[in-house]
Amino acid sequence: MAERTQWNTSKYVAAVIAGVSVLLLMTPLHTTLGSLMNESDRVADQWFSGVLSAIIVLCSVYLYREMASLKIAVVLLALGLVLVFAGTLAQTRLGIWHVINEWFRGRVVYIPPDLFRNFFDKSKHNTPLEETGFPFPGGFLILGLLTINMCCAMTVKIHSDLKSSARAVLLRRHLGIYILHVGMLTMFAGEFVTGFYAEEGRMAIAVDGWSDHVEDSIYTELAFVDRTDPENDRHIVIPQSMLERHAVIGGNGKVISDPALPFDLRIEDYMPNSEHEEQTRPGNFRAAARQSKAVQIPAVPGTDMDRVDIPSVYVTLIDKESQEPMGTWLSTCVADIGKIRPEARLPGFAKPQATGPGMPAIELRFARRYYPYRVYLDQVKHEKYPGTEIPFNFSSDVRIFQAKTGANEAQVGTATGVQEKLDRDSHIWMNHPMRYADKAFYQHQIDAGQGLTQLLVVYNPGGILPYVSCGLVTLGMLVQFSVSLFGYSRRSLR
Amino acid sequence: MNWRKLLIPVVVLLFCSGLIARDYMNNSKTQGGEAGFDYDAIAKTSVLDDGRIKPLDSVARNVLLALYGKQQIKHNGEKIDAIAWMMQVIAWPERAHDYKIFRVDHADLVELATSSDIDPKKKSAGGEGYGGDSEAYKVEKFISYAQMLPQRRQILEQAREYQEKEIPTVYEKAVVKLASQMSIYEAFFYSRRPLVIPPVPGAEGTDWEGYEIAMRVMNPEAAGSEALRYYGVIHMMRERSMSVEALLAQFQAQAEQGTGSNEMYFSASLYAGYMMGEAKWNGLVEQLLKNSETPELDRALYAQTREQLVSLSNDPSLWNVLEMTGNPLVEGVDAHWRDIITAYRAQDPAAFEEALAQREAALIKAGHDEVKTAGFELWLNRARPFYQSQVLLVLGFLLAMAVLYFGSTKKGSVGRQVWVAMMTVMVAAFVVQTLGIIARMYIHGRPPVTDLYSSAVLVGWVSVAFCLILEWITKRGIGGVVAAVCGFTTLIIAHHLHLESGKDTMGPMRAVLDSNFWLATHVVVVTMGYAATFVAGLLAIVYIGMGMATPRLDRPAARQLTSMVYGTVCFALLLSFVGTVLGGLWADQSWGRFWGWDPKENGAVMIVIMNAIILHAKWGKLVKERGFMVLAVSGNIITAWSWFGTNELGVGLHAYGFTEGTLKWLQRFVISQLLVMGVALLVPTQYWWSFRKPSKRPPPPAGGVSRASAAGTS
Repeated sequence: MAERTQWNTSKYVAAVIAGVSVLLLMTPLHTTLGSLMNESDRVADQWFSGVLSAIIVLCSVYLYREMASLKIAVVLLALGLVLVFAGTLAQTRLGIWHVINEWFRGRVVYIPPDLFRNFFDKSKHNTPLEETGFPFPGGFLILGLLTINMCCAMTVKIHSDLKSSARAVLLRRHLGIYILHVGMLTMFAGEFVTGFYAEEGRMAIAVDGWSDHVEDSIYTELAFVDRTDPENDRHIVIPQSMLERHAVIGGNGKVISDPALPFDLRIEDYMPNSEHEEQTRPGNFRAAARQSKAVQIPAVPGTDMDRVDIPSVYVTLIDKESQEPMGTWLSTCVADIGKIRPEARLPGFAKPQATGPGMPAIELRFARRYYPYRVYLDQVKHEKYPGTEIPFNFSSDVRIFQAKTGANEAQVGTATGVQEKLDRDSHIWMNHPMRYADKAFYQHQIDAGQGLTQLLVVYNPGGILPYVSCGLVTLGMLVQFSVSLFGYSRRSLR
Repeated sequence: MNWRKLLIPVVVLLFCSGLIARDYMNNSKTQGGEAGFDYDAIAKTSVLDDGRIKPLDSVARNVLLALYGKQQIKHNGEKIDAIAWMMQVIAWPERAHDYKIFRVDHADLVELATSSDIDPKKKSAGGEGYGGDSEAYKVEKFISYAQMLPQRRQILEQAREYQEKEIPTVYEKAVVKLASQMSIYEAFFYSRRPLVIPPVPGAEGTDWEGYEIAMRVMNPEAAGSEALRYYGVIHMMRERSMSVEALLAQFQAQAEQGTGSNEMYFSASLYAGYMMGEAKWNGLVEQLLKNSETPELDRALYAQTREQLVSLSNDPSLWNVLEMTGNPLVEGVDAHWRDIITAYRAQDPAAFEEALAQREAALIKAGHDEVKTAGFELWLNRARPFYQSQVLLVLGFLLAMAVLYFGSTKKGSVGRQVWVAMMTVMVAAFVVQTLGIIARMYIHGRPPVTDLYSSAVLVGWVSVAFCLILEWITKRGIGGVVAAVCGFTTLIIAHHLHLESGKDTMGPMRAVLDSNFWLATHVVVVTMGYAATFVAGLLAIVYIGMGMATPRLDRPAARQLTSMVYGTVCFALLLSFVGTVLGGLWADQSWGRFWGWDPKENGAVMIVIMNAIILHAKWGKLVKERGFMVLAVSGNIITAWSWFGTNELGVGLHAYGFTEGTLKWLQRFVISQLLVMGVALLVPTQYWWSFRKPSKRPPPPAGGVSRASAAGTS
């Protein structure tokens, strides 16, 4: 399809540079670079991948004729096929978010060969996966290269069409291909935007109660709640990334000190998923006093719908002046009450516990985001098909009140003094979310017996892109295939 | 219009209609029933089962299929239809107990289940322990309920134990299966599946809620909330007229043996403590608090429970419900139903018919509109269009092979006549299948695909449509062969999926899937994508097979076949892409995530990628004809993975069809496809029969035509 290309020395050099950059993207070099530059993993990673991607793009612009090759496209598609297959299998062994973030939205994955053996054997599904394996390009690397390949191919094709004497005929003949590939690029863009910017959280509300915040589905935070002010609670939070980085087990063990807290902290152990000994309920406990014990277990695999991860943290409070330890606390949180052992569902579970007289209460919880409005729950319904346990519909009736004053500020824990205005009265049910501000509220789970609802609140700035893409690709394919189909039937009828 | 042209189609059509009519006539006479009763009327009377109001005939057929694997029992040379059997199960269970309808898959289990004095832990005569795990023990024997009644308890206990096992042995699987079949069967005469139709919810004087509670009280262990477990305890006390202490002792024994649930025992003991008065209650609480981690918290909790028990005991609605329920009592919800059964038991056909008519009128009056389609569903059950379509497809296959044998379909040739006959049969099969699908849509009120069964039916339907269009254009018989193979195989698959699930194939849809718009768009389009990919793969296999094993794949044929595969893959890409993206849009509408990387979603995207690879490899000239065909065959593997393989990985939103036997067939299919691909790649094209160089051929001993026909017969 592309014209024959002439290779010369500078092109070879550019190709080698691009190839080396791709290989570098598949190394964990950023951690070394990060420690040299004394920057956190995340920032170093962004710089590392950003610079390398820029180099690859620059080389590709120079090599656009060569990069337009269909061979590259086929190789990348084949890599994608293998990655999706391996990733699906990995979901039987690893947590779903781990697979999404590291495999499908990562630059490199290490696929253990063990994955391809006996993957239907369910007894293996909860066993941990080896860390080592053969390196393989991750989803975003493949998507990125495919994007470059597609852009180059389109450029070359349009260029040759425009140069041709039969310009109009060629453009018309290739119109479908152009449209559908623009559609594909839109879809890739949608996946990139979703991967980088989308946020989702769960909002749990009891009937006749309200909520002004969501809790993240994945990440946790350790919160200290200071209730000394009768008007406002003060929440001092430590994000999960910091807990993991400073943990004694698996981290650098540094003591966390902040003027907002009346004590210093040492994170003894952070466990993304934990199991509690028979006598211990998850919650917030002083570890030594209750002899409670939690141990780390592998994350719940993505194909297991009946369980959820139960993160726990052991944290030691340290006196600011004497640097004497003030006791170790075990704190645990559960995203989904319905999926833990029944005895843990008692009232009082997971309430913040005071760390001492006059001291803030401690609580490990899923990371919160506050909104400048409140969602009140009037009613929940859980309908079933007659005579069966098969759910027919879940629904919640909610009202949203907008705070009149300080609407731009998050009203953390304010109970009084804010005038409110009814802004929306809505019925949320299956397949029918409520859209409010820039977010969409979906019916997630319901416990009609307890009068609880859980809404999934999603913010995705790229939400419209898949719709656009779907339209464009379908249009493009229809145009193109009708051209070839009619061509085919005409030929064969002849 | 030349009337001779119509001769073949008309004759063929008459023959096909004759086949169908004969089968329908045979099916519409109920066999094995009591003399004097109108079985058509009872077959089409509506009942509520599995969340859907449907004719009793459908329930009977589904249950018998789940237990026995067929819809008609053969007992001592006598044939008994599902509906006649079902009436016996409801009216005179003792009589129905003698039919050998339970399929047992393990030799030892047959022995255990049918004898009264074998201890499963004991060694068998051969010296080996019971429950051998080798294939040698596999049998297919049918036993009756009466035969295994003495061992019932033991079988159920064993099954409960084995159910927890992650890797059960052949024997353990057989025991679990037998126990579940037993409970399906028992559910009917213990009226755990009472079949009655409660009033329309929301209608005046409705006692819908009472019905719901009554249903749960009868299955207290399945009841979700604590309050309902108390209801269950109270109900059992009253029903069996036991004292609280006796009931408690029973629950305790069951919980210790592992045959009852701990939660049930706990609820019962709390209730017992409450019934025995303040002092007993306090003693019980103190005892429970001794082992408690958080005594203050639990003390408050028990105080709450006590309050709940007080209010429950004083709740008049509870007592109303209990008055109404109880085994025969739940029939009180639907008094006419009770009359029907009573009349049947009393062998009184006149009263029976009157009760049936009264019930139908009452149901229509109460606003149960589903009753009106019951007669139609009965007709559909008897007409069994998918079976008819299979018969016609076999006929079509033979004719298509004949077309291939004759080779030429030029106007006026014999080949042409056979071709016309073949197309007529195929179109008839297609129309019959279409009518079947439409009838199911009408009854169910849903788009064509709602579960794995209906997806197999639609995959077949779409493949046949595709192939017939291709056949119409090419007129070579190849499309006909592939249409017959696709259509027949998918209907066989559908039948086995139905057998394995043992459920109504028009069951209710879970809340999140309850959207006719998305079912009609996403699911249907994705299923069509599966079908197109399969058709392309099968055409490729035909190419490989014809090219290697016959001399018939000449240049024009090869080129035409390539165009067919190419066009089909293009359609497959379009359909699978659009279908997958529509699924993403549904997910976005439903829980705000366009793409969740769910195994089934990944499977769908793999089909899209595979089709894209096939096309781009062709456009980029990376492959020639043979490579293109091999890639198309690999599309079969990917599609089979997406369709069935992903379901085997575990549970998920899409994992609606978890089946074990499927796995074995999936593996066989993948291996067969890999073999085809391997052979096609390893044997160089110059050794393919059709592509041999002319110089290497021995000189033809006779005329070309006779050699070709010799090859056709060999």
